Amino acid sequence: MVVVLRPKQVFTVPVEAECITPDVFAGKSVEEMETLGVWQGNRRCQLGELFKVEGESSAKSEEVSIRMFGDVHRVRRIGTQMSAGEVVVHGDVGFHLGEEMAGGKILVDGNVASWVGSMMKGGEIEVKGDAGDYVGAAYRGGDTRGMSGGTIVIHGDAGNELGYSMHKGIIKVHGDAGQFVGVHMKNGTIVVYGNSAGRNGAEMTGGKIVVCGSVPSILPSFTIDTIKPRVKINGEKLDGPFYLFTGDTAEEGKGRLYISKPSNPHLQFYEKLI
Amino acid sequence: MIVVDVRRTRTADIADYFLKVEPNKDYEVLEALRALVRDEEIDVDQVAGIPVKTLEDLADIMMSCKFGVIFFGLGLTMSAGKLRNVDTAISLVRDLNRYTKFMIMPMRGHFNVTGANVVYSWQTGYPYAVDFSRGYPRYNPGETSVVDILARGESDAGLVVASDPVAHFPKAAAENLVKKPLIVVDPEPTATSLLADVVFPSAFVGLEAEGTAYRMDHVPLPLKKVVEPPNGCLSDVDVLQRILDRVRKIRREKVEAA
Amino acid sequence: MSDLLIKNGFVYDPLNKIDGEIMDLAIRNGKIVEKAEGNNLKIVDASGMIVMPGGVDIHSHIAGAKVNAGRMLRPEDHFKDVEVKTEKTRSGVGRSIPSTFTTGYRYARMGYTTVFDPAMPALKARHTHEEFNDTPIIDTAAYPLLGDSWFVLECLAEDKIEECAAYVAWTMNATKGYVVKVVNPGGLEAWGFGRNMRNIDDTVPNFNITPREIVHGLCKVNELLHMPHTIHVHTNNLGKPGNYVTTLETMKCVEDLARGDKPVIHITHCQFSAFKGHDWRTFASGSEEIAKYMNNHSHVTTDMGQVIFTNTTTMTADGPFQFILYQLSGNKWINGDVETETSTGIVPFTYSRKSYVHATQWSIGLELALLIKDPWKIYLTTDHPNAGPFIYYPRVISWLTSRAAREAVMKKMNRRAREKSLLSSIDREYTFYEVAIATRAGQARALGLKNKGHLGVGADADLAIYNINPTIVEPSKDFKLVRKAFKHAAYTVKGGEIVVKDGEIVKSVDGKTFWVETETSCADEFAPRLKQVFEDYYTVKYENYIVPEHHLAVSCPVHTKAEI
Repeated sequence: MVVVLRPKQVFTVPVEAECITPDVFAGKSVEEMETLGVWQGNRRCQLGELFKVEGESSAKSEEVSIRMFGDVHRVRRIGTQMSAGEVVVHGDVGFHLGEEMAGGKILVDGNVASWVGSMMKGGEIEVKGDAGDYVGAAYRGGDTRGMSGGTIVIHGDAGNELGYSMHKGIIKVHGDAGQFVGVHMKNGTIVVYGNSAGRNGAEMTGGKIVVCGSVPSILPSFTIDTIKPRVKINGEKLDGPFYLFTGDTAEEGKGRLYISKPSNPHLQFYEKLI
Repeated sequence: MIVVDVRRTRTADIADYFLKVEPNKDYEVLEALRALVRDEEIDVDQVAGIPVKTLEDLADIMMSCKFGVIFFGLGLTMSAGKLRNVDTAISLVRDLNRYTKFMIMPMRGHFNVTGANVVYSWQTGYPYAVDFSRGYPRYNPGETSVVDILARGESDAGLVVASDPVAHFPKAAAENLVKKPLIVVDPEPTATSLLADVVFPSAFVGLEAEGTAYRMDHVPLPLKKVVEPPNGCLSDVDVLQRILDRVRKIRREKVEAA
Repeated sequence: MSDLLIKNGFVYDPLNKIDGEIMDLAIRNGKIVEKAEGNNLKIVDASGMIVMPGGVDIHSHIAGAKVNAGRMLRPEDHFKDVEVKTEKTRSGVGRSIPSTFTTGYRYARMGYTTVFDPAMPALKARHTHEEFNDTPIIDTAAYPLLGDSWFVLECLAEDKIEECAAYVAWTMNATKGYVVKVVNPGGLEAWGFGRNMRNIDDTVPNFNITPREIVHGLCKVNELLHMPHTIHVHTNNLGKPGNYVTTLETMKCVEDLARGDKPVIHITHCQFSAFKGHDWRTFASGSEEIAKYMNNHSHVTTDMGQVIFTNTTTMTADGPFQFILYQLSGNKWINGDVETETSTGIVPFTYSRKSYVHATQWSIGLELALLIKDPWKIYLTTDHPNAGPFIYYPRVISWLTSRAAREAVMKKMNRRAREKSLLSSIDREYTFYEVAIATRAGQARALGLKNKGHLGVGADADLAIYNINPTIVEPSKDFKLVRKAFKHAAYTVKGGEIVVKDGEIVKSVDGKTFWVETETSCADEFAPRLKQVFEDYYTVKYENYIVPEHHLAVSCPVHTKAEI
């Protein structure tokens, strides 16, 4: 069943609404959903004060579909820890979308701010527009894990530090990516179909990064291994050829970095080392 | 002494070696050094304008010294890569400790900025960018840091103590700061205080009020009061305490009225 | 402040030999008195509950430069464990390196009212005291690190015991310190050059002295100054296989200074210093040997340093040990050197029940507590946060009071460690009386705190009431109830005021800071020499090094008269 949320006002300060998930909504009436707690700036208030809640929920979270309309670009933490069901956002959406998500699907028909899918464990996030920084990333401090399962697909561009400290799962970016793709990555797969701003795989110890477009340079702590005609990602074949680099040797890493050969003629000098 | 910078500085003039690095390429240099310290071969001939041979020599000097220190400043933290530059510099120091004793220390600007970090940390667990909006401390630079909050226009009032963000923050952030009600506590007139709605001139700490400052290696030093402040001029502690008392009183009255 | 009457509780007060008697306790002006009265006499009904003196912690890293560096290092430690502000309390974060307010509240919730920080770099004493001022409810004190101070090393190398004593006395007064702390004697100085001490007869680089001479010399100094506590020693080789030999040698090296039954040395977090074996593969427990020695000698006290299977943050002044831990774990690492005085290291660490070494360490702590027969000799600590955060104390209590609780853990831990553990052959279970010794009375006595750790007339009215009826609950079987009761005190009373009720803070008060004010006859003639030392060695002026008494929110000097 479908629950529709529309903001009742233009939000000028951040709204934090980790209650907007199929798991929390499941089995609740509209009135009950309206009394769920959210934060507007430093004030605690009820979901119903900020959003018009319509439609009907279901008993099981996997049958709940939440649709959000209107300007929610300052609304954070939607879909936090969700395990099933569906959230569809028609428009731009704020920080920490789908943080620690374990299952279900989130679809954004617009842009998404930073930390989308951070510490995600499973499920699927699809963004039609652009994403901010730290897609599928870890929290600060280095000891937390980034994304450890699931899939994130960004149809537009992504910002810096995409897949920071990623442990498992797949991230695909159809547009361009910023710097530090897969920084501190341990495992998993990242594909950038467009260009990247460089420093790919910085301090990675494992996993796979594919860049189909151009990169400004390769970090000096990566070593050229070979040239591969194509690379396979979950059954999808990407035609190259690709330069395959391994690293990050600064971390004694065994990560693999596939960089398109045709898009990067300035890397040709590496070929004499193969 | 080895100086690495994008331009020749006065410190570079008195150094034993000076390495000129291309702007925004610090990360590459540090990564190359880390690989070299781990006895890895480097595929390229030069990194950020520095020949790999020179970097090999540098790595050798660092590994064979008896006690080394890396000092870094804003040039590293504010150029491309930002926190990652420091991240990898710290890792380089850790790696060097396999061979010798090596330390790293930030060269802090602005008087007692270390003290602010130290006090925030013991009171909240985090050194800066602390967000109390939900009744407990949270920390996530980029989300909870002042400059980003201001740049996104998400605040509806500002209180600035002994700092001059209008002079130092990006234009959009400074504009959003002055657009909303702004209170400044500062002993000196600043660009920010000139644009503030309310200004509390406060006593100079270490001159007109006593206090503690933390040296950039976290050694606390007492600051003495030598002269009386001008009549009616309070220390920043007293100003903030009075504001707090007043806020609490207003809150109590509101609760009682309700 | 109204009088308080605690009625009908089962009172455990080992220093006054009271073992679970049903008694009333009267409180006036923050002290235990004969009789409470007055118009607004407040009565707390403690019937069916245990009443003990407020908990005392002899060794817990809660404040100062190193703890704070740990906080900065580990945002990931705090972000999921928060304390939300209330009308009575300030907000903060928790887990292994809690913010100061959280530290005070969480100790008070467990019925603890006195907690001493065991590692204060003298140069950064002002910082430690500023944190104490922001640590509510609990009474505090700090132990200046003196075992690697250049001045101490120079004096002791030339056998100038009295001059060393004058310096130690001055340091206690200047830094508002309470105990002479020695960490890896000589090793921290050697670490300045990336080296360490391998045994207690190694020579410290640049100083003609050995760890043995440092420990023996400072032990003599401690006696000359009539310090309330013994020297507090973190041994050489801590955390290394085979180190129980070093520990025994350290204990033995001050045997000649023992006078009667009075302890002269405290070996802290003994678990980390009771390892057998040649390397990590042959690693084993040395608890039997340590316990045997301690059972035959009365000049040593110790504390457990009990390992908890969890993620925590290790932090000690033992720079070289922390470097080893960093290499073993590959985790992030902070190292610091404090000019002419000491060093520091911080490494996040996870103790896993599936690891042979970690599971054996868990076993060693408990073996020591159970094999050392006299509970006045070994106290409950986790060397917070090194072997685990202090919030796990109730769990440790349940392991001490229940064989079944120990077995429940052993069932799930590394098989080889389980098979080798001595615990399966130990039946001993602590009584509540013994728990009261291990968690308050023994620690207060060891620290020379005359008004703490007991409930006799004149004692500070610090006490804890736990919702557990000793005539009904069998701690051996009902260990989960014991755990629950000790986790959230029914009441905590601090200085005569109820600060905790049903595990929640109902009032926040300021804690006191204890320090030793030592009177010597040579202070005036000593000062010029010391000023010269500051000119020669330090980047800080003599005058700026001294923490004035008014810098302490509630100063509580303990006066001693030295023999110099």
